[in-house]
Amino acid sequence: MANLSAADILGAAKSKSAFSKPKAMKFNPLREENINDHIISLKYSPDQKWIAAAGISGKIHVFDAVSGRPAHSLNAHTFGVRMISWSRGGEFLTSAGQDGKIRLFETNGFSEIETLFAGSDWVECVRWSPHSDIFASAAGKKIRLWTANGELIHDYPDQLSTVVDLAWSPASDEFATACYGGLTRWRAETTVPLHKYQWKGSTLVIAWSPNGKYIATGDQDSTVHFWIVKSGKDLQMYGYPTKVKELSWDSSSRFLATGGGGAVTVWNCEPSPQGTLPMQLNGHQNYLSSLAFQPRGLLLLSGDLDGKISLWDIGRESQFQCSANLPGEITNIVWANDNTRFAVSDGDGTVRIYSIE
Amino acid sequence: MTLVTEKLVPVTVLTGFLGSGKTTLLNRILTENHGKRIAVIENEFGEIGVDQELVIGAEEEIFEMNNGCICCTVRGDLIRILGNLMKRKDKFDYIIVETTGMADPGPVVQTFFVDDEMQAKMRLDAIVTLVDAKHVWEHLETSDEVKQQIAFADVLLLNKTDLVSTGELNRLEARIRSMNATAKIYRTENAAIEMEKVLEVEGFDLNRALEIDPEFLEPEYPFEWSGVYEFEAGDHEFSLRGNGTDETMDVGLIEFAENEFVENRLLQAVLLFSGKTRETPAGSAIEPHNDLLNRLLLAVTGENSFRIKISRPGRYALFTEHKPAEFDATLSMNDVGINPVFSRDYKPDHEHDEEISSVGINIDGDLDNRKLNQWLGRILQTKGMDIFRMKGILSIKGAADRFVFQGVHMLFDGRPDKPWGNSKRANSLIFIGRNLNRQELIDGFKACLA
Repeated sequence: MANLSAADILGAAKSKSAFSKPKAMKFNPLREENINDHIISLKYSPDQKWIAAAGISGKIHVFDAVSGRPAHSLNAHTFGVRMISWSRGGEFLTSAGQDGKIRLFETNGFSEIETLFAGSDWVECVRWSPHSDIFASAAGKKIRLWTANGELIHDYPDQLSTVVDLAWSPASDEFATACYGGLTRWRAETTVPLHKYQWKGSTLVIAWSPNGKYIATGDQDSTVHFWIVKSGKDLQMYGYPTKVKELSWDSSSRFLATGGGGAVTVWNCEPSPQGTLPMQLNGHQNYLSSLAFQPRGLLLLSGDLDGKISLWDIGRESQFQCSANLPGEITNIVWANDNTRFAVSDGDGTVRIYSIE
Repeated sequence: MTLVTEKLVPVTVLTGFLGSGKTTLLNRILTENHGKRIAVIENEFGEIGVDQELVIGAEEEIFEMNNGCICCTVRGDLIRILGNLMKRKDKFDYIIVETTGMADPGPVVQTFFVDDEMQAKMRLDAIVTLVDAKHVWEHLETSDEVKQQIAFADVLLLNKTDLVSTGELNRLEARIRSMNATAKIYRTENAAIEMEKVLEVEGFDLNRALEIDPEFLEPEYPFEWSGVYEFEAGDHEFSLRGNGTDETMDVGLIEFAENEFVENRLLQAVLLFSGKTRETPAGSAIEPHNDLLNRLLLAVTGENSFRIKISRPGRYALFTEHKPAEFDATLSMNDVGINPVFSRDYKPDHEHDEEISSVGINIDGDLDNRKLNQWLGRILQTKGMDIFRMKGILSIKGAADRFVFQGVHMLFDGRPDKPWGNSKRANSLIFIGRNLNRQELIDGFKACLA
């Protein structure tokens, strides 16, 4: 582990900006809808047809991604949704519930294919593989792998404590799980773990870099833990004011944006964040609650507990582009694949769609 | 920015050994018509007989925090569950966290101190601990968890009182009081208690930082009780029923002058209790004596009768090692009961738990801020593991306002409160913990005076 210190990220960023002539960007609101429930999970379907918003009380609302009009409403869980996930082609939508169930829907008519039991009272995660039509679930100490028909492929060995997050590698058919005590890397083919990354700490979220080389975790003890997947070496980033739940990688795997307070903290991870000082983007008055790099490029959106959203360009010398104050606490920000549209959800149940102009 | 001040949802932590009556109390709370929507987080399978409330089963997951505070542990399951619960629109007005019988309340409490999200939406109201009045003795010496549950408590219910005698209960209360000087102690049968005594107690409210039992802040005495009597000349019958445990009880009888207060003779009584003793078998006489203590020899069961022999009528004070109520003691002359003109209880020192105790400090004057910070810092660093609770009001030199604080282990929370104004500036604080060195704490604190 290393305590990170001085470095020159700003210099690198400056040289990039010399090419582009800065032009003012602004948010252009397109559409808003309210579902009257705290939106815990918000996802564009990979085919860009739909936006699904999961209310914490148990309903999933599906909107037409282009018009923004409500299209379907699914009674998914009796006691709270934790997370929703689309299959890689958008043919399936699944949800993880606090009722111990996984609901599996097909997206032609949004009818249910199967209700699955994840192995514990409370399903923490369900995520589709980006490479094939299988998905993994985490509930309590149980990790399970399923086919698109809802058939169980694997029941992995029980973990030592509750699995808090699960993330597929963007680069291969592997996934990582986090529980107290560290990360475990798995392959879809076998229930034998590929590698264990041991660390005595309480992880909250996993973010795998797009090139598959790094895994960053946001932690309860106000740190970001950083693993180099191949070598198993780790670094720790200290100094955050609060627990870190917001992590986002840029598509080149160079920049890792982190929350854990009011400042957006961006680490330069090429070749390694070791010994560097991060970029600190100030402008939020309350703690951040969401961070999202655009699918391609260096635009970054941030949202906070007061309802403020900001747009930053990490490639420019003056990163701040624009901001807007929305009425409710921001819960999710997701980009559309066109690289200019995004959807933002809040604690009052509003989904807003914007484009950046 | 919107300026909406959300009301923080109170959280009561219910602890107690298996069989102490937690589920009974929980069922009472849930069925009582208090108009509250209560969510319960259970760590043990109880028999909650109510279904309109929300009951969530949780598996206790204790995480160490890598924040440089070695004793800082939190409950990961609570952060997850309560974090989710608080996002729901159908808000709950109250949360009860029931711990397992063997739980150390530390991690639960620290969770609410350490996690920002918890702090932003909820406030820890109080630790309520149930004690099985009959069976707790079996665990009091051996179980760290039982001791911690008692030491951490804001409210203690001595439950199942129907199974023990008043004497035994008095003895238990004295013992528990010696461990935790600030908790409110109630005696209950079937966990029956008014809701306002267990809910919205505000045990962690800084405004209530100091509601210390005045009895506690006294020095320790080798006796628990004194009674001042007007005696006529002649034999008085002093009769005690064996309490099942004590084979002796020391009793001192001192002659008082007219209108004399017991306070003026306390030092003499202390000396008397540390001086010569005379073994006094049942049936024999107790006579007033300024430097001879009577050690009553008691049969542990049945009646023990002694004669208090008075030759000169007048005012006398009787000092007893244990509270007479523990022995259902009576004093009479010619079968007519005699009550003391005045009586008072003292905090016992002989029943101190070796390990768990409360240390209260009450000192007038102003404190040097720098010295205080150094001292507190040192204490938290070195004794943090052993300090379960602390709270107090401090008078800092140069500060117009009272400083109120409280802490759990190494976690410390304090702020300036209302101005002193014309009231006398003084400091009151209390530590509840394990292996506390009273004198060291008092001396250390005194050295912080400006």
